[in-house]
Amino acid sequence: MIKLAFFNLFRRKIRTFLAVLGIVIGITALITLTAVIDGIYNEMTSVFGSFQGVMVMQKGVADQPFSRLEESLGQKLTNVQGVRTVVSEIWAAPKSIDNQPLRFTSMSSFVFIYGIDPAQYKKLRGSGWIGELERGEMLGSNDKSYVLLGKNIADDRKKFVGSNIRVNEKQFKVKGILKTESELYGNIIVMDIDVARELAGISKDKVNTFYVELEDPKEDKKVAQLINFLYGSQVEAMATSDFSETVSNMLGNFNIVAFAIAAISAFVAAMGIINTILMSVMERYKEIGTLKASGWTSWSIMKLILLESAFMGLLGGLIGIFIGIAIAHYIDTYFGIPTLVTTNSVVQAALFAFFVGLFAGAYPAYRAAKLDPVEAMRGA
Amino acid sequence: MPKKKVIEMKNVCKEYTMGKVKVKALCGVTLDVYEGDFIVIIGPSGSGKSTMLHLMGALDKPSSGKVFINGKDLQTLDDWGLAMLRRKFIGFVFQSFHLIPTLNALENVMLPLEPTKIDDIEKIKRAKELLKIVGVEHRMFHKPTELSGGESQRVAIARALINDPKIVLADEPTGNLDSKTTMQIMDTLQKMNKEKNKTFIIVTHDLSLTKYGNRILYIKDGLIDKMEER
Repeated sequence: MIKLAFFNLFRRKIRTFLAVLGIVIGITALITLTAVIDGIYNEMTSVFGSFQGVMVMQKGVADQPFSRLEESLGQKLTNVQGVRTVVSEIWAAPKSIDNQPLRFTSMSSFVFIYGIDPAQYKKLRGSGWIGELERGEMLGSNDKSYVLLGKNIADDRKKFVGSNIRVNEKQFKVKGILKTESELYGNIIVMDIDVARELAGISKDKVNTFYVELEDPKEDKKVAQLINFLYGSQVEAMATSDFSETVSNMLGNFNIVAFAIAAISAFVAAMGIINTILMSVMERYKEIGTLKASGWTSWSIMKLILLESAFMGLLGGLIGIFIGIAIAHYIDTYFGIPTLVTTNSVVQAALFAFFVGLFAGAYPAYRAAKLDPVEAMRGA
Repeated sequence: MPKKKVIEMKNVCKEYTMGKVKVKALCGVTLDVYEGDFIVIIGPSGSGKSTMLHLMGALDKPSSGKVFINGKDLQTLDDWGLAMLRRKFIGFVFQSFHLIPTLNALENVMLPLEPTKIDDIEKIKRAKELLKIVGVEHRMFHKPTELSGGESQRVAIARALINDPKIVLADEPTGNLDSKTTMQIMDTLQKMNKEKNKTFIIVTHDLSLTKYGNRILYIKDGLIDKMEER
């Protein structure tokens, strides 16, 4: 019966194709949207999820490079209850690399400098923003002419441990390559904080931000509150777990949009399928009558028609999934927006399409099953 | 040994409502059909012969009177019961074959068994055997569009026999065929009747087919006008 139902779809290829188109568009949109959402979510969790701490920056500024804080504040923060150690940070955008000016064309091309004090960094229990190294070694206290590179920038520019790299007017040697494959941190250039200050034009006693490591990482929200209470007039402290929560809340809204689109397109697609299957049932009155005459029960007829429409849904779903994956891949490659197609979303989309088809087949199947075999054979 | 009764019709009437008008298609028909009968029903169009065939094939229930098929009263059966009765005891052959265009000859023959639990190997075995008997074994992988009228009807006959029914009902089985093919098809039906002791009931308005029957029924205005036995 499965084979029969399947081949029945191809009796009117163009009609089937048109009926399936609605599902194709809906599933394509669903797969693409969820791929973008999952991609961004995955990106964010890979950045923020690996460690928990508190970020401290100047109050009221939009982004880390615009923040200016006294370095002496770091010592004060160390004394706040629950704080284990504090790292001073410099964030800056380089003007050129290897004498080529940098242009911001996409998220993945966004290169930035991260300046740290290796001695401070060594005290961290976790690995901070830098994460683990894939190759080479961590910067030492006297490595002022060395850098660590994110994996993407190293791959893009064919840099290895020991390679030379010129950032603005300064020549460096690559000491290590970072493991992280995240789009955001894949293009990081890690260097000594004094050198970074120089490149960014920041005076000696200032830093952009502090990264605060905690005695108990679960206390990050509490400590952030405490810092805001103590130094709230100058600084803003954010728990990294708050970051990921904000991100997932935002993405949650996108998810609702994605499902609304899916629901609307499912409704439209279902109408198309109902219409098509109903027409094909009417065209096949004699055939259905013949099946009934040869001992097919109403239920068997119903199953056949339901299978046909469910297949129609599934067919559209599979085409939609295929196109959706292609578009997601395109977005990732050409726009640098991270996308991630999960098995989960593919299975969900396929099931969704299948059930939309099945649901749409209910009425036509009922009509076919209720046909009087005598009437059906007259072809009325 | 007395012959077994396979169909019993007792004072059967069948009415249809066409719009607001009630039409009596059949009225007061009483008939016993025995195992091994080859009945030819002759009558002009509109005489009620197709209605009679539908009643004997459990496709329809009488408005009044009783129809028993293999001892079962149609009136007592629901939709499912009628379907089961057709599946077990009845095969149908139609004027325009009604083969499914997407399936080949073999698959068309197997179609009535599709909702059953019989395994595929058995289905294929039975279908091949029947195609051999009706003489179109060499065409079994051809689609209906590639078959001639005679070949199509042979496939349809094989399909009617796949359930090993006691009764085969044919509505104008040769209506779309030329006279030579008609003879071949009728010979095939007669062979199945003789060799397999199956009951055949053929509805037609072709008088030349009467020579095949052991009983000839003449239907006129919803009544059995005349019955000849040979």
